[in-house]
Amino acid sequence: MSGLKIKDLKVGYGRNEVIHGLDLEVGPGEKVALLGANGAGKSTVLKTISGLLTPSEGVISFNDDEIGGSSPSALVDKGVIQVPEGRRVFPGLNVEDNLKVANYGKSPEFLEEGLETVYKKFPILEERRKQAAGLLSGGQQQMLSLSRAIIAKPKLLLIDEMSLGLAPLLVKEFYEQLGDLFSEDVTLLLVEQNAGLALKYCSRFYVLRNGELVLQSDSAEYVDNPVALQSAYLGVDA
Amino acid sequence: MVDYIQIAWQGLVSGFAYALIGLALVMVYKTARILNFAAGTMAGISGFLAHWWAAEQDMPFGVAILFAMIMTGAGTYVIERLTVRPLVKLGDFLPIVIMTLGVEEFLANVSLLWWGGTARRYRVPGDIDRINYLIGDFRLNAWHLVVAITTFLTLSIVGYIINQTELGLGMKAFAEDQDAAKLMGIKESTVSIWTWVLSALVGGVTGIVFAPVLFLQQDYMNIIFIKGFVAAILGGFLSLSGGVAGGLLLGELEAFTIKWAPREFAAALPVVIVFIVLLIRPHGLFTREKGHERV
Ligand SMILES: Nc1ncnc2c1ncn2[C@@H]1O[C@H](COP(=O)(O)OP(=O)(O)OP(=O)(O)O)[C@@H](O)[C@H]1O
Ligand SMILES: [Mg+2]
Repeated sequence: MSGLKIKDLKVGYGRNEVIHGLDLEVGPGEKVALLGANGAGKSTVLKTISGLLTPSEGVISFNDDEIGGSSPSALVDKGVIQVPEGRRVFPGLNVEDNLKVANYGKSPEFLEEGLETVYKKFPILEERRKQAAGLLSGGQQQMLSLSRAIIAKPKLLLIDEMSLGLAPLLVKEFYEQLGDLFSEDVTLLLVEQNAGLALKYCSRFYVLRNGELVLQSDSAEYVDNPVALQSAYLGVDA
Repeated sequence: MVDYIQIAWQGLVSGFAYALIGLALVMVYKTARILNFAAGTMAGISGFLAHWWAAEQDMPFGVAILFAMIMTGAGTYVIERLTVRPLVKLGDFLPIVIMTLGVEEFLANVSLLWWGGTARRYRVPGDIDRINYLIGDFRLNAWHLVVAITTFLTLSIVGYIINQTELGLGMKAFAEDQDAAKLMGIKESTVSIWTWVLSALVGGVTGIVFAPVLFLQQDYMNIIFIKGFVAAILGGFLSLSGGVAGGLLLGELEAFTIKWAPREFAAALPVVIVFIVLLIRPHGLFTREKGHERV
């Protein structure tokens, strides 16, 4: 068991390289944040770990298992689960079908169990379980997106900008709930633009700028002054 | 009055063919974003196999149909793996569509070599296509009744698969958001291949059941394919029920146009309809306008 290890990762879209050699580690059960400004390449990193993108160079391993370039479905089987940016619920499917999809290819027993857990944490989803997910509010869609991840039973959880488009108060609630939604020993890599929130929840963080790592540190050093990170984000003195 | 009922029934029967082919086309487009131009020719080969085996190779009719459906499924499986799959990885829409055109050309020539270019009329068991019931003045052809029942059964089975099975759930998830579906562990290649097979089986049923209505000719499904395409456009190309409804509507429009307008106009009708629909309601008649595709 050695958690997530990324060595010299290069990846991009077509011929356009976006990540130019990234080294990153998340220990087993550790909670780590990946920060950076718009377009820094955070989502690209997550999509590569979850198999949506194939690395052009470098090694990705999880618990000593080399996973770089595996298909998303193979990675889901290994417990690598991504909560995508923008929630990405299936708008035309009802809430329960959305949750069923998260149990795809697995025994219906797991689904029953999962539904019970999820409905206990988010009763509103049970109330609206026959409604199209596209009709839910943004916050409820985020609940649904997180719930899909709960049902998928992650070992390595990748969450991409949970705060996107949500009211600050709601986002705060989600962060306070995170520890309760997933088990202690889930390894977490969390992408966030809102550094203040991420630092409170994660013990360490990395900052990405234009596809390069520009800073890594313990959260404790910045948690009371996240504004100081701005210079790292933007590459200017704040 | 009976006259109108007769025309409406005639339109409905043709509409069944357009609806089924429309459904087959929409199914593949919706889940895999691929237009299959070989759908009509594939369906024609299913029809040829079944009726040729039954009439010329002395196979019992039911067995011939079963064999034809198995061949259709297996053949489609191979076609998808050999021609579509390698191109999907490249991620472009156009090469795949051109590839299906190539497959169409290839299959059309194979069936031409096999069966020749002349039209045939194979007999069905008990010659039931020649039985007509008279209900008052309304004439009901027994084979048309078979067509109606087959269509109804096919639609029910497809509906069941889409709404009640895991494959159907995967197809719907894929149709809505490919990346999100992949992140849920759904295998793209599995969903794609079974969608193709299911679509080809729907086409195969259409080819088999309409062969006695249309005369069996090497390219007898081409015209049905074109009208199935129109049906899909009427339905907005992204709605299964829309494609079916579009097919039935087209059948009726056609039947009543033939009654009242010159034949030449009836032949041009599909083109006219596509033109008007694309101009006024590009998202189809039956679906509400959706937002732009999510990025
Ligand atoms: N599908 C794509 N095709 C081509 N280029 C892309 C694609 N997605 C992202 N990019 C490019 O890759 C770079 C990094 O994008 P990415 O989405 O990883 O940034 P991000 O850090 O997640 O930003 P944000 O905070 O806005 O989500 C950007 O320059 C972007 O234009
Ligand atoms: Mg992003």
